[in-house]
Amino acid sequence: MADFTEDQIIRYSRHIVLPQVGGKGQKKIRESKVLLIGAGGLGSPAGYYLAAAGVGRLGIVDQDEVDLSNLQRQILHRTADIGRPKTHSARDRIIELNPDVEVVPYQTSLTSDNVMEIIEDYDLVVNGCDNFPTRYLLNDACVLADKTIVDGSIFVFEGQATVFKPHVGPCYRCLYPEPPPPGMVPSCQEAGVLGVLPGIIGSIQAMEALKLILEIGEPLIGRLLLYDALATEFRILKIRRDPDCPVCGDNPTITELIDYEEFCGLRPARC
Amino acid sequence: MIEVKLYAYLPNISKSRRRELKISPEEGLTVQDILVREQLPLQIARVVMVNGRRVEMDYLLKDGDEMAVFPPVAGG
Repeated sequence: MADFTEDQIIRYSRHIVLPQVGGKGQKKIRESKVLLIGAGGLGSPAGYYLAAAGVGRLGIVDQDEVDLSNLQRQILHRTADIGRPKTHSARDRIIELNPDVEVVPYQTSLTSDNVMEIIEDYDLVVNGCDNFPTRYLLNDACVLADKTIVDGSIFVFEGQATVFKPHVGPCYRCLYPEPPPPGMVPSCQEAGVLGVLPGIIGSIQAMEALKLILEIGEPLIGRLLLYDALATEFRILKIRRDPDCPVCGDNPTITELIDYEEFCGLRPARC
Repeated sequence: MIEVKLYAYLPNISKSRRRELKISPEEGLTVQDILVREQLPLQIARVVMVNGRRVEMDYLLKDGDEMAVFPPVAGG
């Protein structure tokens, strides 16, 4: 415990007292580097809890600015932050909560040009992005770079969460090989979303990320958690790696990154 | 009867445009038959559970089965 200050020992005392964490586990958390994709509905609770937990470095990728319509669910941002870059207000809120955390803002969208470079520095990627092109790009990049994704996604009253650990469990394309055709899926802007929903899924993502960092419990590798808020139902189903998967299969056909937005005109669903 | 529940936006793009369907059992009726009847694209309607377990497209449905279909969602 010599590495921790007295204040840090008090701050993390409810962790340290856990036999599954202890001083050793808290040190693992401090040494971890987690990349958040999106500082929106999912990224807000996920990032805030990971910061509270004492994650050493938290990278935050988001290209957007805070909008009044975000504030019903994106709890890292305040009314006074409207118009500011989300990565900046997220950084401010996180540092206020826990000055131990090093926050690295990336005020940009993920593209085939920058994704490999950004993910390289991180142990783990927490995916809270809001559109299919980024989800496919990130999946392919993380398979190629062998990075684990703690994945979450939401729609109206329903959410999904899982962990994609390349070559150990399935990847996103094992589940859904290609993005839906343009125009088929309504965005949250069009469909709406009850604000608490991303809070639940984002919190599950934070928990899964900490389990992976601490190497405790059974992470959601090879399992898909489905949440139906209206029915209050959680279901888990087993998902398998597909040997014919175009990116993580035995004979991959996707060996380069694809910017879907550019060639299929899929309009990102903003949440 | 076979009970079918379509999740997320699938009702909006299905033929009957309903979230819950009741279907009479028939000899040889598969999961894929239901998806085709409902005009749901198979690349999206890929995650199907019957009675709480994931099944393949050729799963033979029987009376009393509860089928649930989950598409990819992208909101964050």
